Amino acid sequence: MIRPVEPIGAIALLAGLLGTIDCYGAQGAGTPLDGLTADQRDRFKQGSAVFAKVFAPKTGLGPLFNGVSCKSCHNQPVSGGNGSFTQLNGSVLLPNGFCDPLADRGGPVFQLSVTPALKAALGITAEPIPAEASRGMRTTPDIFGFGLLDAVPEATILAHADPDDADADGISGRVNRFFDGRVGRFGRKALTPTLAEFTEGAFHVEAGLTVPNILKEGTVGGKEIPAGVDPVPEPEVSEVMVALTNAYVATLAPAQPDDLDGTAKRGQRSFSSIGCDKCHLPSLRTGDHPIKALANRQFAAYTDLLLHDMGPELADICQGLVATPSEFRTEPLMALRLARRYLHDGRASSIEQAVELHGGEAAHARDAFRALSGSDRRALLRFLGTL
Amino acid sequence: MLHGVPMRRRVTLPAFASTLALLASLACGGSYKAAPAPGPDSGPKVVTGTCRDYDYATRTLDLVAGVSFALRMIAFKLHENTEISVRGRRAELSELQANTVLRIEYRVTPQGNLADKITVVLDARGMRGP
Repeated sequence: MIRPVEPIGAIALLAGLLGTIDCYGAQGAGTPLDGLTADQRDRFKQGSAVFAKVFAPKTGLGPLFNGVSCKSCHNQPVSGGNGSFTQLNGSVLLPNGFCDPLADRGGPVFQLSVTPALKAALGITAEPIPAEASRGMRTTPDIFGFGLLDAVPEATILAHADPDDADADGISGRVNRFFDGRVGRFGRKALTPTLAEFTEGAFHVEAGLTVPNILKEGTVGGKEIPAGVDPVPEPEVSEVMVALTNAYVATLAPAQPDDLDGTAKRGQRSFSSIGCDKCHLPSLRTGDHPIKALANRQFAAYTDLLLHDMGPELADICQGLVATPSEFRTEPLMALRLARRYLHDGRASSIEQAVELHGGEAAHARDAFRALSGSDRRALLRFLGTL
Repeated sequence: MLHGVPMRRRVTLPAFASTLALLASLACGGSYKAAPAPGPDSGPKVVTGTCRDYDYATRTLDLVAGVSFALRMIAFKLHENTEISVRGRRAELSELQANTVLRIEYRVTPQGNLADKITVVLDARGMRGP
């Protein structure tokens, strides 16, 4: 007789096995930034262990969750990379103009897994999402080089914004704002202001783990979790563990682009000439930073961290104080060559298809891409494939 | 005994996976020291978030706040002496509208969260531009 494998056991087993496959190093991705001090490198190592730590219900997982560890989602091709999991977001645009993240009903992220105890108590296998919610699917991005994005001064983001298209180039660029009014930059709609908050929030939202800054368990569709379902005392993740995870995530190096051959260099020129670089800014510069390796450094970002209207075909949900359903933050193209699915919801299976699906403010660049000769299109795609 | 089979301590899959993960972590040179859990929050009750809705009749407002995607909605009641201000001047109730970013100083009471001071941090028009 074969004993049925419990879903959580299977997930944890898979995550455990993934943890054995690599430390870091494939294609230069997953390595620490150059120039870290010995102490910073040590914290990177310790943080990578927390990132890979597999949680179970008895160590605080859930009761609602999407993954059993950070690495269970971010693992392709190495820790910190992209992954196959797709997250479910929901929101409702209220008549008064407020983009309701459904915080009183479990939103904006609706978890797709539950612990056995919650399943036994409520008979559910995922968090219920309100029927009136607009839905948005989000692929798991890689997080290589995100510390550099975090270190870009807010003034730089604001300087590139052109909310009313004052220069009449057909491209605006708006700043999203978090619920406390700060400028957002992380997440597909630039909701979250800082990388540290993004990481902390992920512990809570993706793994159902409480952290010192978020001591209350999430709800199940807005209702308190039944008594006894998650008896692990708060916080389930210590301040030290959160700090080490932040240190790891912040100092993950960007994946090194491949060398450009002649064709790719031609494609790079087309990238600029057809206007891709108006939103996908090839480089950004960080400001002062306590970690020297992150300070005052020019890096290949390929984003302006601003919201752009991408047209009705890609539209899904509103988010934050500014982002409309059709607005998305310019996706950084760092480590683009490591992706296997493209666009926010993974609907494109190739870079070319992703370009073809650009609309709204990007329609002009998309049409210019279509107008390129076959040879020039291939050159541009070759360039993008080096990033 | 279970169905004639001697009882043995079974290793569960989660435990096995946790062991594997621990070994993997050690292989990567990782370890960490857990910090003691912090004590209960005894600081002043202050929160900054966005007004989802304000009900003039009941003098209640719903605020959305949180960390990243870990958001919560907090309901507040205003009392007769609740002070409302914007940029240093006393503000009107009508300025507590949806999409306004508010900083609220409050007390937790048996009747709910009582707002003592509300400061308008960013009004809805502030969202338009950079």
